[in-house]
Amino acid sequence: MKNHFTLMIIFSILTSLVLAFVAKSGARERMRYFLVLLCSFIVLSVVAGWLMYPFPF
Amino acid sequence: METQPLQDAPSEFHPVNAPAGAFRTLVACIAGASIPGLGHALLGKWDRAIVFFGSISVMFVLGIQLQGRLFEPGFADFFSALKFIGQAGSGLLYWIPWFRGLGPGDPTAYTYDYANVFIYVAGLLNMLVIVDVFDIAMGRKQ
Repeated sequence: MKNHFTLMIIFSILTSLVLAFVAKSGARERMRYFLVLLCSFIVLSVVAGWLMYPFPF
Repeated sequence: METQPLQDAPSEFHPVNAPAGAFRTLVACIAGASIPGLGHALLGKWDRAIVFFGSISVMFVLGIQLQGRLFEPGFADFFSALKFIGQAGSGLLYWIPWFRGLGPGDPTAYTYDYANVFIYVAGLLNMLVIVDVFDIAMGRKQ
């Protein structure tokens, strides 16, 4: 498993899951918070990657 | 001029649950610090216990499998100390592989940096989980 994008997805899922269970109670609230966190992790990572793309190092 | 306390000042702390008691709180926090999720299991929060144990364990084991490095206990260098503290937050998940000599790390590996992040975050999340155990045991959370 060397694909960085796959690893980033796995990392995002596991971290979002723990944070959702710590921060919220109730299945519906947890699911909503989990999805918001997961999407934020993935989208912001891709955006940060594109913003760093022009840098030569 | 002497300050007088308000007679009908509202209390800021309203317990959600009955506090578990000092001894049980201490035992739950130590258990949670040793094995992720065990503190919640002792308090009867099985859903959280299973999720925390599963997520943190998978993250830590993936970190080791992806050639991550377990930083040895030491406080000579500030950043190495921070790395050690972050990783050791996983409790026995850190100490058992460390005693067995696992996790030497390979800085030339393609996934080395990712693997280290997995191990750091597993430990840091477990610290957060311990705070959650404390709040539940004190009756501040459900």
